[in-house]
Amino acid sequence: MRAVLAVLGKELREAFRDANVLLYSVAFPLLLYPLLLWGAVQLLMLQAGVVEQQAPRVEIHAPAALMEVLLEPPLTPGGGGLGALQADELDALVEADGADGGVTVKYRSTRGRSERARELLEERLDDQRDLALEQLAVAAGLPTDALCPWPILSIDDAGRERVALDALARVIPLLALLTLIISIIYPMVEVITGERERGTLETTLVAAVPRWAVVAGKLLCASITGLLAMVGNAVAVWATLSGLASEGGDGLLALGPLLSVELGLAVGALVLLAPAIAAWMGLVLLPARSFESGQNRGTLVMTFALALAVPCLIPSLEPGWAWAAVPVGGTAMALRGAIMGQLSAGPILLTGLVNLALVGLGMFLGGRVLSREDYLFGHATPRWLAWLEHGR
Amino acid sequence: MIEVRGLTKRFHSPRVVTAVDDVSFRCEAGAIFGLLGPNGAGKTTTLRMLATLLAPDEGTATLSGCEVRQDPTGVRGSIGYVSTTTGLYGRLTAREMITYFARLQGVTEPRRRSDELVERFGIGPFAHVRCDRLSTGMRQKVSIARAVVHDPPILILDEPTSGLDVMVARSFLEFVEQARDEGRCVLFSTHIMSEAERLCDRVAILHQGRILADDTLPALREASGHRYLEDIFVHFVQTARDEDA
Repeated sequence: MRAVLAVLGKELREAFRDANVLLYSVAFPLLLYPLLLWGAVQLLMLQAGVVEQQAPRVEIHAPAALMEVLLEPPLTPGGGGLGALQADELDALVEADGADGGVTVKYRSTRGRSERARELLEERLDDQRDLALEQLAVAAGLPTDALCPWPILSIDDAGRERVALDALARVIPLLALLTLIISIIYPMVEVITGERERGTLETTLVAAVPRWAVVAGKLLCASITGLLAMVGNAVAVWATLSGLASEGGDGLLALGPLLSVELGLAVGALVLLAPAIAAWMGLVLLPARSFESGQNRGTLVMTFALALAVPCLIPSLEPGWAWAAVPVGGTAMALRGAIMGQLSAGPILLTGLVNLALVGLGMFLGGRVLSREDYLFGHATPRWLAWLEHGR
Repeated sequence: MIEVRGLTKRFHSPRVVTAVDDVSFRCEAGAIFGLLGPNGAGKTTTLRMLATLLAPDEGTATLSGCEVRQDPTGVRGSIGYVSTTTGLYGRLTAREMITYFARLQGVTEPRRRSDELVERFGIGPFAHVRCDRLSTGMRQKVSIARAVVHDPPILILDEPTSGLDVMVARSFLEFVEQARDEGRCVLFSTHIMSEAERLCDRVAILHQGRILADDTLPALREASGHRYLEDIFVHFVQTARDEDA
């Protein structure tokens, strides 16, 4: 344990003096990502405001009475036909003089202004249809609402909080894993490949410490860096979203309803996933002979791990025992299930155990590789991984 | 203190190369043993086997009573190893570097020990400077302090003066002599004849992985009929080549 702590202390000291680690594991998660989120939301709000202020241009081919009703502000008259619509000189084209008596609204869903024109036109056309039906009913001596279809009122039982929670349950695990993995890559490349490239590992391996202690110290360093970055990022994103929500008068980001034993267990599984990812990333990095090759390998592991986590975004896949044993994906599903209150403690505990087993196996194999003499002084890269080596 | 018997190492990359071939020697406490040979003679491979970084294919090596394959941790605890590259961590300061190795080696009071070595090797003026900003001479001082932080009875020095200027190399050689006077067993590899001539109580001439001669300098002079070590070295290498031919 003494040796593990000594290696850990030294690695942390070195890592937090490295510009790359500070950039990717501190500055980006704590500042850049929340800033990008805030900027994106502001941009969307700005765009929505601009669309709101712009009067949509519409061209209407309809009887004069209908045209007069449809063309009330904020809609303004335009012209040029379909060509103008395609050239962004017109926002909607209404044709109400067809032989079948129907009304066609042509618009472009990719443009906000055109979408708004469609919404306004459909509202006004609905009103006109209801008015016409009332007039027909009166003419036939029927009650005014006799010809009107029965009103349909849909009420979402989930409520806004539940909808927001569902969205968060899908996004939070992915965001947490993304930050965790990105923040682990640089410290791992630094402590494994960087040390090998600089030739400093030889002096450490001559010290009277077991190889597994050296591996454990390095893994702990990368795991702690990744977890700190993930927690920092979560707090920063939460603060950003809370700020934005309070601007809109909403209170959707209260954490109280989320807290549960299952969520605690899922967070525990996530904490264990950090050294598991570090251990397996370390295994892939160990044969790398240059920093560049190490970065390639780190990116490969990140892509693979995120691919395993993506299923938590798929609505039809429900968290459960089947997912619990899947590396990375199991943790993502455990977080999603715990946030949604859909998962019991059993599968989450299994996920934690799987992560623990991954840590143990990764450390054992890492220690075995470090004990191989051709690791330090030869070519320990397996042939199937040799294509990752730069310049080969 | 160091006893090597029939040590052999082969590399398979891709054809089999015997880097060290049946090497045997003995080095006592309070003595400097020089491994003398040109580049590629097998000096570094021999020292790496003794430092437990490489596993021998045949033979045994015992350091302070610990055999390299049976008790590698025991061997590592009894040696101080300095290689051609100083192997310092660039983002640690000189003092942090020494303290780290003191902790790693299980020294009971690492900070106090670090202070002692900073004082002893004159590291004080640059103790708070990061290692990647130190000059070659400063780096070598830190490297030595790192190697002796746990007060090892054996020092294994692999061409330690390679690339050093005259003044730094001179102060390093003084340290080696001092280590011998303190009763340490020093195994020293070099291809610089003058260093070996000045320092070594006993010299082994290594060529193509084999020991051609192993004796005290006066005995080697007598056996070869030459006065200077360079001539003695050439004599034994030439004789070996003639025999091989």
